[in-house]
Amino acid sequence: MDDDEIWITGVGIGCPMGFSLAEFSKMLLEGKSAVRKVELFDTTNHPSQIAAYIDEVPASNKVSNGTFRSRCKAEQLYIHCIGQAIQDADIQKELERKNAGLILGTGSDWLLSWEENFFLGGDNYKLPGREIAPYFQYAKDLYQIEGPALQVSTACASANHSLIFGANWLKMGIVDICIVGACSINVTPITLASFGNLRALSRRNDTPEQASRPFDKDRDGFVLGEGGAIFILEKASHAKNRRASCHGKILGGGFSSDAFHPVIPNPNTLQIEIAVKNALNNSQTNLDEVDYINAHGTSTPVGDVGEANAIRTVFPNQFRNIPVSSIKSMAGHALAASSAIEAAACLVALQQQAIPPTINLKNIDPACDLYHVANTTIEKKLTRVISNSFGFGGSNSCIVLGKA
Amino acid sequence: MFKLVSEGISSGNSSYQILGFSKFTILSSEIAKIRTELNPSLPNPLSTSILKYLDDQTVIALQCTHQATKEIKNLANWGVIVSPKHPGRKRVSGAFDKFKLESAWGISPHLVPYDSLHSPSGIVSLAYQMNGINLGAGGFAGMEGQGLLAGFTSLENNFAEGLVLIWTGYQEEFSLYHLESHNNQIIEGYALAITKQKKTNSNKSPYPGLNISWNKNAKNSAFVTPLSLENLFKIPDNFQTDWTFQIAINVLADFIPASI
Repeated sequence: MDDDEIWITGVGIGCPMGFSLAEFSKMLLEGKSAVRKVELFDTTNHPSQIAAYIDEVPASNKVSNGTFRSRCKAEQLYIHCIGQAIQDADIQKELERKNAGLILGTGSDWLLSWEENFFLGGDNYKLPGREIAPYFQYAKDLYQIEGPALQVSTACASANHSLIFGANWLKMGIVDICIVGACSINVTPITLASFGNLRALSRRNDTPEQASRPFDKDRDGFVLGEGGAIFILEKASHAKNRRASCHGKILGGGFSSDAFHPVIPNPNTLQIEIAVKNALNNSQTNLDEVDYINAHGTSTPVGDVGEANAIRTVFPNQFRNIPVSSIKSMAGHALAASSAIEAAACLVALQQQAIPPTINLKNIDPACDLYHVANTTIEKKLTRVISNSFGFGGSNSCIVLGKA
Repeated sequence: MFKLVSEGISSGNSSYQILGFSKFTILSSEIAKIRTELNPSLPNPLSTSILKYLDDQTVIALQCTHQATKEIKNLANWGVIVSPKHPGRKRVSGAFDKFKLESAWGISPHLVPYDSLHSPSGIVSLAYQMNGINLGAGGFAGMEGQGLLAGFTSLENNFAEGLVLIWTGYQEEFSLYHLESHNNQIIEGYALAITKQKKTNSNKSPYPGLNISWNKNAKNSAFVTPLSLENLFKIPDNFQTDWTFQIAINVLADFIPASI
């Protein structure tokens, strides 16, 4: 066992598929969709009226119910996820004594705060000096995380960047413990309308649970999701010293940029391939050591084809034997937090030795020809898995996770 | 010469070569003109449909990149990190007003792609054909140091051969109830083009080096206040970012202004 390995010793999760790793794991491996008709606000004029969303974040025992409910949903989610991860890792005392860093993926907290204020009748968005603190700030203070903090955004790839940056901070010796991940509340009137009017969202409003169908011939866009997952990272030596257990390891990651278009993925998938290859090199993973690919797989017509092409190119002799699935078929697309939730899904897969399916995959698009785990979970020996995430702005990312 | 402010037990330090620097301080009223004149300076000119949706801070970021990278021949393996301050406010304000009148039909599909934290870096990477890492860092006033933190992490881990680090923002936010006064607002942008110091040619750049050292045991360091972007470059002796980065740019106090 390499003492410099990066262990994930705590997980906190909150999403429409569950508010604990056990709940999430059950729904994930049962292949159940969390997508439903949006009832949080009037969707009459929205092209897409469906989403995977959170009704209420469970209260935290760290603060009174009144205080908890006085915070906005995004802050509640950070309190929940960070708190659960800290509790899972049993590391609160260490946080007070050691240097703990925080790296979170994000979209744009201020836009959400202005929107929230607007729908409450406020005009913060028009006035100077009314900007809120970042949403994670309250949880950071609450849990006394006093080391370096960094908020990064690569749109839908944000959380993958946070995981790899965190792993590298540990390797560089900047911190002893690093808290990484992302939480994102997305199912709001403006965000649903903006993505809907962009024609990025599925319009299968009458059959919500069948709407997200990555790699299926009849896919018509992604389904908005939300939620988050937070991870406690430590070096193996640090974790072993305090007898912490390991959910899985972060073995490496790779990034690149398309430099093609603010929204549209480049049909030439060279940069996706470079991100995946960088991740494999960085983690010293051979092509035939990849046991599962957790795909970005948003269910958009263009994006899924590009990702499938890239996988076939990077793994020319292996792709027929490497299972691929996209949990966005069940969880929707949680934007900045999607790769955090998907990293949690990879940990479930590694722990359970079972691969969650892409549900609603009835007619595989020939252009997306891969070894798909369609509709039903399969059991498989898993040692190393990769998770792809790509974002607006052309950001490509891939991380490699290993079995504990 | 600024002194190296690192004290105590450092966990490490790194040296970087500054290959270019730029600073733009302009009136908001000048943004429209700059927007229409950007393309000739861009290696990969942007379509009109992209140009017209760019947030003011993205326009400034593009302008800064041009100046900071003019001596660099090939940016293909470079990356870009932008720390804007609350981008998108004007457009979001308009979106809310339209939502009141037209509900979902009135909402622009360009809000998320062009007005989020990732947007400026994505556009810069596109316009300058940079295939290394591109990301937004911080995003809030007081979090400017995060751009440097993200950049340092990226270079130390070879996520790009070099990086353009950019900071943008209005000097003072303004009331959108009085848009006529908006034209007098000052918007500013700063950029540094940096690579890891190569021992073999460390003296080739006309610019000074940038040294970053970090101290794992320091906690509760002061925020960079006041929040003007100038603070990143004036580097007071007690300069610290919102954590422990203790930065010394080994430059004469007047060097950077003279290089503009």
